Amino acid sequence: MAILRDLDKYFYWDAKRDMPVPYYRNKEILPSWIGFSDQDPAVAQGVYTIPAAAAGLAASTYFAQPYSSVEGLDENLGTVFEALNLMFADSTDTTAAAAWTLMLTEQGAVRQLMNFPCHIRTVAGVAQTPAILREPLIIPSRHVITARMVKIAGGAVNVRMFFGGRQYFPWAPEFLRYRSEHEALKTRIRALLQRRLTIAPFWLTTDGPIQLAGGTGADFILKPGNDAQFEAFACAAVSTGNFAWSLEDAKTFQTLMNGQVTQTNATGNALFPTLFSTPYVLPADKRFRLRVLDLSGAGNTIWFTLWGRKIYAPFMEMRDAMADLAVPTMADQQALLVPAPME
Amino acid sequence: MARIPTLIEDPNIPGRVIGVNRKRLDEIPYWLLTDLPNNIVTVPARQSSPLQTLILSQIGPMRITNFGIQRTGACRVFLRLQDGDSPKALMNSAIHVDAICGNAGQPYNLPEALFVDEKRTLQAGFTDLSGAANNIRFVAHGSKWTSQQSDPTMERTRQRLEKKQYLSTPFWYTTDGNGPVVVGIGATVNAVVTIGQDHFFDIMTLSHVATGLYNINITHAQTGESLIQGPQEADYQIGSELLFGNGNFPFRLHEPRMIQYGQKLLVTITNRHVAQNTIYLALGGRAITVRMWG
Repeated sequence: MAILRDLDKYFYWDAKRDMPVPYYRNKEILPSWIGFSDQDPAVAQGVYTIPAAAAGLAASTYFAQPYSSVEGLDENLGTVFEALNLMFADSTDTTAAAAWTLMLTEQGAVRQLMNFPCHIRTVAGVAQTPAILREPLIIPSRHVITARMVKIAGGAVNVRMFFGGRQYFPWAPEFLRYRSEHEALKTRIRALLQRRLTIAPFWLTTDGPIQLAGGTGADFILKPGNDAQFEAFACAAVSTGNFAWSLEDAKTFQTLMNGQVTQTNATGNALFPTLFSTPYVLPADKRFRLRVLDLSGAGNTIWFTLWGRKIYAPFMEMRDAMADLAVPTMADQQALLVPAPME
Repeated sequence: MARIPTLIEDPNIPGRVIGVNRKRLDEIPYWLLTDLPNNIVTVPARQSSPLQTLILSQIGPMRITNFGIQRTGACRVFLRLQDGDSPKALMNSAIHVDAICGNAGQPYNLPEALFVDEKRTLQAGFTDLSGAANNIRFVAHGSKWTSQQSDPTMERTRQRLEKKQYLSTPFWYTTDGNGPVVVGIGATVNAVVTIGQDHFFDIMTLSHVATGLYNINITHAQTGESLIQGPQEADYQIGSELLFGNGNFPFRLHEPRMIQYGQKLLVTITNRHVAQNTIYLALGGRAITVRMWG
């Protein structure tokens, strides 16, 4: 019972009755998934068709968070979806061989979540290994995330895509009776809505795919934009052959490696991205230089994506920042099969 | 992830972020490779390379958390630290790379971070097992500090971590002797793992490379107690597929198992494979130094 008392966030200890009592508010935070909106007539049962590459068409549809309240009394909070991971399925080409790009744009905040369309297999996973967003994407009521998809090669494909996460619904009539818990949940929702004003997940890639002749190398610039600090925490790549790469700050020439690592020894994909031991913060006016070398000996097409988040806030000093310095390893963390979202 | 917090939050308004911590610019992810011109280490067939250094610049120290490998054939790796003039081995014998190195998005996570700086260098030597010339790219990934000397708080933390590393370092054990355990069809073979005289060893991960399946029991030689069954149970072998992972996904013990310095583990292996089985074991963990100052 002591364990329950101390650790379980779903219960509190009622001293008077000497028994655990569940927090009612946790019934109003639901595991949930958002797929393509069925309000789009082009979406049938969550399936969307991306035209063939030869057609040269960009297909767009959207994710939409619905609105719900009790008689409109929602205190300007509505219902909020906290997206924690991204998954997709390609039922035509198969998910493992999917060849199309994705560009996500948050319409409400008018923010692109990617600097350039990213290869789908560098940003979205599947149910067993979903692509974890270390910064949750907060989607308020009636907000829309547009997905623009372009086929790289081959014929039209039928695709599904889902954000997995949490749905907050504080307006259930029964829940309104639990006033303190209702207030606690509203405070949490307000915090999420505050946070989304200054932070959003972001995927950074090159301006189009990298194309190398056999055995050649070239430099490419990754431009996160000047509007916010960019914090990268992982990378993923899809390519037609093995390659070596290095990364540096294009302005300060700060390098992140003393040579070139290869795709084989250090570069994952969306299912298992290469998680950085510590995130790399790139200030707003800086850019990455990606130096790539083909190792396949044949022509190589490479899609390289850095996962991260944009932080719309200035740099500041923090006096006590070093109090907790350590990079957790097995010695000081419990086993996790997938990385947890960044707090 | 990093413990230097990135976000500075408003204490009065939950969720409101007011700034980005400037100290985050001083800690960067870093990939450390064998020094140029030996980013690619070429090992002749059935031979060993000289020890290759992975030298860190003077700019700042690094904590290594992952190993990755790309090689054209099977090989073994021997790791050691060169600390000033004195070398310190990080394993009792060369270990198969696929047991302690991952690749792609599944690198091997070290049981404990390894602290290196400009005076304390990781060295790696490779031995080919493939019978052909072997091109090897080895990478150690971790977090590096870039300007700790101008920041007293970071410099103090660096000194603390450096001192801790004299007491505790990642370490790997394989079976004694300089070779794998080779078990014939249907045969049972005993091997020994002897813990060094200068440290306790916390076993934290189990990984291996083997030709096929086998059953294994690991017994503490001094107490007679099986590490697998514990003291209360009958002592019997367990399938290797239930106990040993690989470099990408080593089996992680839920609690470390400490073995005292100088003690021995008896390993009993029974082959279940249809042919001769060649087995490279790797017990990963940390070495905790004893009697450091006499």
